[in-house]
Amino acid sequence: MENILEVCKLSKSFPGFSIREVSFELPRGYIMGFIGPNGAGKTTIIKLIMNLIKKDSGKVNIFGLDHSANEIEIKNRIGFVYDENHFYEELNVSEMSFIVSRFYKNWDEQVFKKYLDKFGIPLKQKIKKLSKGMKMKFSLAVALSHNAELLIMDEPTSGLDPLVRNDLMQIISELIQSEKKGVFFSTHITSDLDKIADYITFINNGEIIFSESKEKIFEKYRIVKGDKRILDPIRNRFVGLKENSYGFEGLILGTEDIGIENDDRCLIEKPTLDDIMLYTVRGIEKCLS
Amino acid sequence: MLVLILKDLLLSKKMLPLVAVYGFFMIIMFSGALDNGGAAYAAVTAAVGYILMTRAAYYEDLNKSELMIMSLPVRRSQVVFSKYLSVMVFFILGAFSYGIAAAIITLAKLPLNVPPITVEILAGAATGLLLLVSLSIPLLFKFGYIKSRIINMFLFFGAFFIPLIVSKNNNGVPLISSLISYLKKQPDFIAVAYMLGFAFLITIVSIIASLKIYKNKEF
Repeated sequence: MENILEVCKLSKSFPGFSIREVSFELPRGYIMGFIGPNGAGKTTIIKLIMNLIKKDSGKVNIFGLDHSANEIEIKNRIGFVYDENHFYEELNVSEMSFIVSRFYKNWDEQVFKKYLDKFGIPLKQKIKKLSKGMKMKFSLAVALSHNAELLIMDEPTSGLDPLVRNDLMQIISELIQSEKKGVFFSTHITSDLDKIADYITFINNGEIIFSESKEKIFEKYRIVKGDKRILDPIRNRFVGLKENSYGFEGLILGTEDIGIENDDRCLIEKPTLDDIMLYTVRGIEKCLS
Repeated sequence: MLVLILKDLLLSKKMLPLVAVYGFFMIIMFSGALDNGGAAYAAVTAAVGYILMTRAAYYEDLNKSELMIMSLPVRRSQVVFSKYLSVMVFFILGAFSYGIAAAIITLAKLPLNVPPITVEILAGAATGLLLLVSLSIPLLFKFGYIKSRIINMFLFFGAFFIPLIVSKNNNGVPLISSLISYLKKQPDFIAVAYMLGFAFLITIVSIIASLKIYKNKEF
């Protein structure tokens, strides 16, 4: 299967923070959710992929091409949506799209107008007068109007109400019906990904914790809850653990038996992505301290 | 690259009506000062070009829009060249504004003296603007509008007051004094050529510096 995006041992150091040998691959035709807590390095990785910041080492290949050597060709085939509005607020929708459209070889004005109609965005409206949700939809309309093969989105749903978030998920689902496209989508609202993502890449503190298909991830992890009296023999099996005076709840990595499966005082559940993220981050924090 | 220039024009569109009336304003202000009208014209034309350029940079910074521009299929060098070309477009707009105002006032036979604008004066205006932006554009690329605005403000006022101070006290600086007296002895076109030549040289150095800064810039 051809990879639409390949990141290999990507590293970048800043004072006080670094991205360390990040690697993952997104096959064409799939959606990858990129999760991690705030400050984990999601936006930095996206900026590195987009060549907006320079890597210290490693490789980024998009459509099989080096992202730096073939920057113009690659960016012609990428649609981007960022967490904040970076369009010129003083311009109106028509002026802004006129400027952006001139850069793309495959700009399709009809598709753009179709999206504006669908989203109810008036052409003469100034960008600064659009609501946060409308700004994101405008950004999405721009990203989808030049036949982009790869959509890169950095926290597009942050600060949006559930209705707008749902609309966005719907559009992404429709887009990916074409097997030629791919979506790389960073978020810390993991419930968005439960519905649409095929692959999940989890980053914490500049390092990849895992990058796998969603099914495999859910197969690998378990939430174990129970009475405190059964905790001690299995305590070291937990990735992350929460204890109180009545009992415990924690995340376990691995499918092998832990020895308490048949104990009435124990409950084993499938985790959500939120659980995995939460316990992994807490577990790591615990180890560091 | 043309679309980047158009983008700068659109961003400064709020100021464009001012540019349209600027020619009339200049003529009204300096109609009684035929001797110094040209010099004032040169100074203000440079200022108008500079203000329009920084206005566009202000909007660029406001929403960190460089991040969006650099995510588009555009070369960093195109962004740099377009900024210098935008300044030239702003300069031409200022010059046209004056020319149109002068033509209207002359044809309407309004009771105003229209200070004559010569090639030398236009060259002086272009030199002033080029020197000013040659210093400020690399700073804008390096630090952005908000961080560099204090330095740019000093540059802006310095560009007007330093030549004035130097011209009044040039006896203390032998090199400047002899340079000024040498230029005064030359035919006008030679002086213009020296002026523009110097300005273009500084602009080329500025473009090279901007290209280097922007090539390594992280967004």
